[in-house]
Amino acid sequence: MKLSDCTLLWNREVSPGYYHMGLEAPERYNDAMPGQFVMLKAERGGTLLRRPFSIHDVTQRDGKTIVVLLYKVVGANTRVYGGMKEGEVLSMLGPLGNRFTEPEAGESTFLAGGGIGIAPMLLLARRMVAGGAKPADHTVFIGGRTQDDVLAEGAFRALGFPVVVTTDDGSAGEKGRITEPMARLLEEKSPSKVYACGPHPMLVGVARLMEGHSALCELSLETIMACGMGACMGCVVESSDTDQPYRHVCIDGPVFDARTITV
Amino acid sequence: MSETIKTSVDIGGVCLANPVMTASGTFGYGMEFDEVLNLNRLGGVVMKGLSLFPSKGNPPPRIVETSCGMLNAIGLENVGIQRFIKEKLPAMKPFDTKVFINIYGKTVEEYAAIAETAEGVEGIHGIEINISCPNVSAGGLAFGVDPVAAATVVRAVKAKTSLPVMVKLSPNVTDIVEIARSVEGEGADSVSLINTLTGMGIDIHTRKPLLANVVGGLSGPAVKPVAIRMVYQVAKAVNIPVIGMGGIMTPEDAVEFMMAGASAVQVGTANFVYPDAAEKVVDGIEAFLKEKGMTDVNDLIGSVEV
Ligand SMILES: Cc1cc2nc3c(=O)[nH]c(=O)nc-3n(C[C@H](O)[C@H](O)[C@H](O)COP(=O)(O)OP(=O)(O)OC[C@H]3O[C@@H](n4cnc5c(N)ncnc54)[C@H](O)[C@@H]3O)c2cc1C
Ligand SMILES: Cc1cc2nc3c(=O)[nH]c(=O)nc-3n(C[C@H](O)[C@H](O)[C@H](O)COP(=O)(O)O)c2cc1C
Ligand code: FES
Repeated sequence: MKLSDCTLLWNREVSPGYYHMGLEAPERYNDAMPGQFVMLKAERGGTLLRRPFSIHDVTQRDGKTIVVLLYKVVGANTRVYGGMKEGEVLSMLGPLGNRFTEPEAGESTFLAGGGIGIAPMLLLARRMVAGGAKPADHTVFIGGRTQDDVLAEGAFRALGFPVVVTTDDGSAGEKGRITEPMARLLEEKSPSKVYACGPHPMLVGVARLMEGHSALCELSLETIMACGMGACMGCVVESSDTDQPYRHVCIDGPVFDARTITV
Repeated sequence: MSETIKTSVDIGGVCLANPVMTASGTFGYGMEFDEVLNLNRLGGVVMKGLSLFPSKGNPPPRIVETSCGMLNAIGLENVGIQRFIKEKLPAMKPFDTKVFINIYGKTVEEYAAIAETAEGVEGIHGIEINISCPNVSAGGLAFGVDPVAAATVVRAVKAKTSLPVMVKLSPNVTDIVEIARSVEGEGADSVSLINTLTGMGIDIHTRKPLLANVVGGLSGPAVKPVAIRMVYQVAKAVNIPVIGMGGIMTPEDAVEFMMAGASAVQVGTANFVYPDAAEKVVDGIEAFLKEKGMTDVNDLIGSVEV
């Protein structure tokens, strides 16, 4: 069964409008793969349809499996979650979707997250380390509009990853776009895989940067979803394959090889 | 099912173990839900709308949430009847439930050709005809809004199939009873209603329609009162079974449809919210019967006291 009622263990505002939420989850989430997501539904308040959220992290405590989400309050449902307290229950469907292609031994990678798009990158980083990757071979890029939108930096540093921060206004890290330091370090680090998640202009920028480069560029996409499990056909993106003009973000994605879709 | 309560219903040539089915386009090709509910517990499942050839559907955005409902303009993306029979249907065969295909065409000939392709295929127990589609030869006017066009489709399909035929009515008409009577006259074995209500939404900041297709179909709890009214009117007017749907979220909603005159119900948008909703409705109807001291679900049908 993919559907479970999960109890909130914590729900902390980590930056204005951004929350870090821990949910006690069934054991199957220990096998959740980086890039996968869940569909949430609050029992009280909120709207009819579920909302999709990337699995930010999976940890264990006192024999319990904990799914960690990182979310931004943007509308009716995220506002309801933001007001929820420890002990309250959310209905969670998951884990759903595909995964990032993790690096082979010895490969170096870039993990790039813009704003809340950093969410899926932490589980990826953790799984890479568990798979034997040396954090120093990889680079995490975190972008935000201001320093308030730069998230999870400490968590990546705690795992030992080098982190490059950019903000639009220069209030933290370099002033400018996330793709600027990525472009600069591309030669030096020559990553085999580049992972990115974030607002649309950032994904376009990363896809463009990696065009013609030999590295595999994987983008995690967002579309509006109703079911999250391949039943409604609502969540499509345009693909570059004329035989299959649309791909479904919930089951074919959310992670796509940048060459196979039209960002 | 409990020994003391009769839950089976006859919906015109097909006997369902219980009156709960899933609605076309909200349950994929069935197997998507194998991990979230017990398919054997459902009276029937209706497959995603199928065309003669694969169809890519509309550009995104295809869905948007509205107050207590959603608008969709999927554009009937599907694998086509042939790939369905080869790739999707076999997985459904082991389950003890009735499988209905839902078919649509742009011409009468296309409807007939799909029915012909499905004829004799093991594992298909009935055909639901979606007549809410634009009729290309009639300038795009939906078959379902014209009693003559609707009847023509039903006649063409009946001529090619030995399966029971359920005709799915569009609510986007002035008089749904007229359409229902018309398809009954052509030998429809049952009618199902309602399909989605045509709607539209606008993003006031960008001044763009919310859906790429501009208009879409409204479903979910928001449409339920309209659906109940239509089921009530149609059930009084025809002698074939009526299958009711539109906004069913709970067993209580399903009971309400049956009291309005439905012999069975279909659960649609609720499958997106609670993927186990249909099974919960099965359990809940039985619990309702027990609570009321009733022994046969058929006693609910049309039992509203006006
Ligand atoms: C696979 C996937 C993973 C996601 N992971 C996360 C995550 O880890 N953390 C997080 O904070 N958010 C994530 N999102 C986005 C999140 O689902 C939306 O922010 C959420 O649905 C908003 O719900 P709401 O009811 O609060 O806002 P709504 O009232 O529904 O929307 C508020 C505004 O956000 C826009 N919006 C809503 N959903 C989306 C969407 N999917 N894409 C783009 N714009 C949207 C609406 O158009 C509206 O302008 C993810 C989305 C997807 C598809
Ligand atoms: C996303 C979506 C796709 C649908 N696709 C079809 C379809 O392919 N064929 C069809 O006859 N009805 C289709 N419908 C209509 C439903 O089967 C049902 O008639 C309608 O949604 C009302 O029921 P509900 O409110 O319970 O969803 C679709 C509805 C939705 C929401
Ligand atoms: S969200 Fe329903 S098919 Fe992807």
